Amino acid sequence: MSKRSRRIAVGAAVAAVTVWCFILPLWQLAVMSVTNADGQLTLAAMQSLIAEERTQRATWNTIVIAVVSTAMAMVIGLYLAWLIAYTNIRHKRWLTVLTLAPYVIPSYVIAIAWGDLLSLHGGVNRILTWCGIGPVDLYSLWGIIWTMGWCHVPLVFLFSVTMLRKIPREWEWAARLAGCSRRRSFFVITLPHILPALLGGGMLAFLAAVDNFSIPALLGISSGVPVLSTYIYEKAIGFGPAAFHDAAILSVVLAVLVLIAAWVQQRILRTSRISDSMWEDARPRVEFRPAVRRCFEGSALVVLGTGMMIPLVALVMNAATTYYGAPWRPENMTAEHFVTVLTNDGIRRAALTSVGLAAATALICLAVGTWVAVRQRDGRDVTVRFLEQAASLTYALPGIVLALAIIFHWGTMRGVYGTVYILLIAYVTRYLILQIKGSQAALAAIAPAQEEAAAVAGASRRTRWRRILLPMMASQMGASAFFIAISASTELTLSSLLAGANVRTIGLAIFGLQQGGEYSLADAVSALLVAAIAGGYLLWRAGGAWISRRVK
Amino acid sequence: MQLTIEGLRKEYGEVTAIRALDLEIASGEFLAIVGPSGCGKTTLLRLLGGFERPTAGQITADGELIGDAEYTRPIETRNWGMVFQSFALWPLLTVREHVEFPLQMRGVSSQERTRRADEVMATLGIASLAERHPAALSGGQKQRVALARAIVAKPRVLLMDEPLSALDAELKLSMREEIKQVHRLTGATVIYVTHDQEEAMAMADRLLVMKDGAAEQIDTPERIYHRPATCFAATFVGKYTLVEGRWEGERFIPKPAPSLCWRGDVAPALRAQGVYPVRPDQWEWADDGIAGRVLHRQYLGREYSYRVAVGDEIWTVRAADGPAEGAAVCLRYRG
Repeated sequence: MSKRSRRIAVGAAVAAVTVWCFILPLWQLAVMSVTNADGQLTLAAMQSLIAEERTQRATWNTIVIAVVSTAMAMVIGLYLAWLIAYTNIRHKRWLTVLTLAPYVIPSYVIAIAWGDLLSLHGGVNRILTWCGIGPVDLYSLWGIIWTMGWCHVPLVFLFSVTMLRKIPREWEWAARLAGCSRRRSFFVITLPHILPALLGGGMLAFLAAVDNFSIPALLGISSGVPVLSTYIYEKAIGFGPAAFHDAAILSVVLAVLVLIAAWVQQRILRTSRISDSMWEDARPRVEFRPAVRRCFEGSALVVLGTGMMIPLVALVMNAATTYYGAPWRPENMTAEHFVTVLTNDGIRRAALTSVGLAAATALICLAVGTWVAVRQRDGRDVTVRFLEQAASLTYALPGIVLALAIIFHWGTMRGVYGTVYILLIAYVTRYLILQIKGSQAALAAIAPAQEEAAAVAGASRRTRWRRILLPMMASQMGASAFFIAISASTELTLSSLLAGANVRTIGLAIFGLQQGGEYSLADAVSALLVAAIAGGYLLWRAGGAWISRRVK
Repeated sequence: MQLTIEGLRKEYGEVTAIRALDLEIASGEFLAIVGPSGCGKTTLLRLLGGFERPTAGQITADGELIGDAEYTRPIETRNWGMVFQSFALWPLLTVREHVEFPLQMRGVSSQERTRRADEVMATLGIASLAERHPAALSGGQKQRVALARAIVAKPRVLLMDEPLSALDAELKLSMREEIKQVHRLTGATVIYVTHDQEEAMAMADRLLVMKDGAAEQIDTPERIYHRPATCFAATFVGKYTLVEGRWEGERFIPKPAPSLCWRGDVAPALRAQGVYPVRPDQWEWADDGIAGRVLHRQYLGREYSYRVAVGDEIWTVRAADGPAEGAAVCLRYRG
């Protein structure tokens, strides 16, 4: 085969796979939303469903939760980012690790942990009642907002730290030289310049909140606070000829909401003055005296303690007490629940399923994503660009919407629906873009001259990749693959709709225990899951260090 | 404004950026701070501006304390100006808004602002750019806007942090003159940081030569060029070759040619090191003297620059014309 015809063949194959795996499921979802059970085209169902009071309430709840929790995440995330990026507080490394913890700890574990801490008759609520504030019921709209706010702090924090460090310190200095006080120069000069980046970043938290399924599923279904994602879930697992069509209609509503938000975000970001190429200046700009510094360090510890540490402690303590809600006294302590879940066959199978799925997903994404990034770099390949955009779409859309689309598309195929393979397909469809972006960034960090220098020195293409390019890319590529593996192994949204009767993921196992009232067991599995994630992270870091030592 | 620096010291953790510095800067003086990168010159400028806090020592302006380890007088209350190496223009503001900004912050009426901004922009030749944003300006134009913003409020002290290092060679020369012009017009005390000793000598009333966070020499450019006080000042500013030898009272016996005997006004620090400073242009070719061999020859236009191996060392010689590469030569000090 000639080079040219081979290129055409590869292009056609990529286009076909993209259409089949990424586009057709969404197309079928759209079709489902405008047809009835007999396959006729109709908008009547859509009109009546949208007019329903419950639909409107779910939409309204979704928006309120997203807006308020985003505002909360922005305030906390920005404060922590300011401390880390600009001040001379100590222990920044540990504070950063703590802040980023919810990035890898699944949100259902955080919701369960908060549920433990704020259980209606628990100690915290007794104190709150005594203070005249409580009792606080986490199983409510405000409980969902509160939990989600904490979960999305890392999103805000990550982009804020980068953005703050990129603002040249001279911008503020120049303003102060002109006679502006520190405070005024922030409002007159700094704020207008960072506002687009700030709003654009905040939209990330908004999108994540709209997408989130597990927190409203745990805290909102039993207490009758519907949001679009849980309402879709309820419709999809419901009975009746119209159930799937209703779920599809709601999915379209949610998808439109998300796509509008994403479009607005892109528009805002385009006006940003903080560009990718700007240098990150990590040196502190605010030098506190030791006494003041200790106050700020304390404040960070209080914030992170409240938001991240204490709920996790409550989770572990509840898992280690004889019955749920028992006072945390030494005589009530037991390892019984841990033993139960560790020896339980179902839990073990679920864990193995999740780990296997995570590994397979990460490896497939690593191979395909890197291949896509490399092809894009080596030349203008239209079909690969198409694949990237399709993969962005399946990531931008809420997980529950994607899950439904995948049911419609793959559900009719024998040997796929109800097996572990539909989950693998769903995970790759969802997470592929993360690896494409990661590998792209890894490649972009290598100057063309660095590869050209190797070529001039006489290295063949294969040698250049093996000796120069891959070692330089490995760390960033690995980081993306690791993040995909963590996300896939703790995933709940996709598996809640896609897993068949015989397949359970660890997320589903915890969800099932919690729904079934086995709170102590759910706590025990959650605690073990957090420990496994922490262990996995440490192992990955140690492995990375070992490899880089060997390379050197 | 007259500035006094006493016992100034700045540490970043383990690293000492400034070691015990004392300095008097007269009102209206143009002081250039020169030194290699990492010598502490930018740190000194930041300490003067109050952007950082000294570890010890104090800075006073016209007798009033403006900065020590405990207290920093906020820069916004001082009426100083500064030009940054990166220019630090604000992307969202137009050229006119930049120039008017310091006046606006000081509550100058809008009419007066327009008048004074027009005046400064006309002086610096950027009046036609008034409505542009920084993204639409060239390097030289950005430089002028930064300068206009720094001087429009008639600052008493003007700090400049390598303001010309981002410009090309041609533009550097013309901007030197404009900065001198601005200095004459405003009468501000100028403190000018650069790593380019030629630029410093061309512009300043006095030079402060710094190395490893300490002052090596503070004097007029002419004095530093002709009578360097330390080995570093000699090699960094005047590009001197330090000829090793032996001092016997006022007489110097160079080691490569012990039969010779030189005299001259050489600073004690160099005498103590047993060296005699000779600038590249102070050599001439001769039939006898210090023997060497030409390694390289560069044509500079009016003259040649030679690299001559003498013993284990390589000296720089500037001369109108002379031997080819590889030739054996004799050098004579012509004073």
